[in-house]
Amino acid sequence: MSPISKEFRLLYWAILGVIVPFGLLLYFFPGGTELYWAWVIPHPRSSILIGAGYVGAFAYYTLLLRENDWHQALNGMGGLVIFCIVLLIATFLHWEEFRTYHITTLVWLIFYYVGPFLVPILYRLQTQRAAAQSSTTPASDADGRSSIAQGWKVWQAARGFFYLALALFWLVSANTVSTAWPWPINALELRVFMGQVAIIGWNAVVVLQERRQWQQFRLGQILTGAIGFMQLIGLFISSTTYSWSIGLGIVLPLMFGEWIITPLLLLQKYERAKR
Amino acid sequence: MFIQFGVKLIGIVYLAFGIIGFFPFDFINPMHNEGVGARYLFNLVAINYLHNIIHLTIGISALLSIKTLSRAQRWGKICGPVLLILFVGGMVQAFIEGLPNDQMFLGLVPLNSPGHILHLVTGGIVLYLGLASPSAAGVETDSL
Repeated sequence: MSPISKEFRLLYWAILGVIVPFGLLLYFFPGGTELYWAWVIPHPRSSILIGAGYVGAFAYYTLLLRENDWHQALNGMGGLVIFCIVLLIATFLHWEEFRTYHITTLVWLIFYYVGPFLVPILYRLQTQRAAAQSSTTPASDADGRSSIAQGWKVWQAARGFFYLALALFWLVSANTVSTAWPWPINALELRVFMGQVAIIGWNAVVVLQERRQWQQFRLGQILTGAIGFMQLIGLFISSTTYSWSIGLGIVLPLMFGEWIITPLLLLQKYERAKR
Repeated sequence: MFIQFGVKLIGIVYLAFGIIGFFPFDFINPMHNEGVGARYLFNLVAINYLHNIIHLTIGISALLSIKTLSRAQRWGKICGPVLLILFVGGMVQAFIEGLPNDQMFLGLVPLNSPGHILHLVTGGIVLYLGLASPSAAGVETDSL
């Protein structure tokens, strides 16, 4: 097993230090964004929609730090960079809505600059270290790990490309999509949510890499399931209006349900096989 | 080597910022007349010609320094503190002026909060690259 570098572990602790307050505030105090958030989110459901991503990511980063295994962390790097870039695009398109020197805005900017700048550098450092270590120790940790079955690979690739395309389409046409959303939502909140959809897509398409093993895939699936779970619960805990009569009103819970069911089936199949 | 890779990455980004900053297109660098009257690079970072030239200088000097590890690290040790001092100076001025949307630093260079944070993040990374031990990429098993 190749441990995660201390630099990445430090970064993960810092990420946890940001996403825990972000997630808890947005998810459990959705009506108070005018006090604590970088911009005022008018509808509590939009606040919960964004907060669910941070709360779900808490499970992922906690497990990453506990497992301390580079092979399991590897897949998440691309997702983290994509998420940061999507949120920087949202910031670029809607800067006028931000409170420029609010503490959350400053933390938000630090968080999303760090993704594209620091992660590739630490990734290079980690891979150099892992290569140096594998040249001095016999390869044994990959042996005995389950490969993902062909049928699951096809399903993951299909849903991965679907969610990546959806994220791109909704990112571009957020103004139009917001008019068909089940509650009144601004384009900024919708674009921020697209960061989550892009991560879900990324976590699925990485299955296409050669010799993809379950161990390298499982944390991404846990992240997908955790976000789906928090989103689905979020739809029901909010007492504000939700329009079930329009198409997206039905599609959203189904999509969140799929985010839960696919990872659960995979976990059930491969975690049982591991035992 | 990760140090040269990092310096190259930062150099390319600053070079791109310097070049793109000169584009007079509102859909990339819209004009914000409400403050000091500056274009915002990607609608985020307040810029003018001098600011673009500084970005270009940082980018070009970074790319010139990556030929050897010692030069890349020397660049990091110089450029990192400069960017961090710019962050501190910019923030102090912003507080003195009552946190306006943007400000004219030393009467020459427009700055705003996305610019300050860009200086902070890249300055921190660049200084880390300047001070990092090249052997850090060797075998290591310790954790926090």
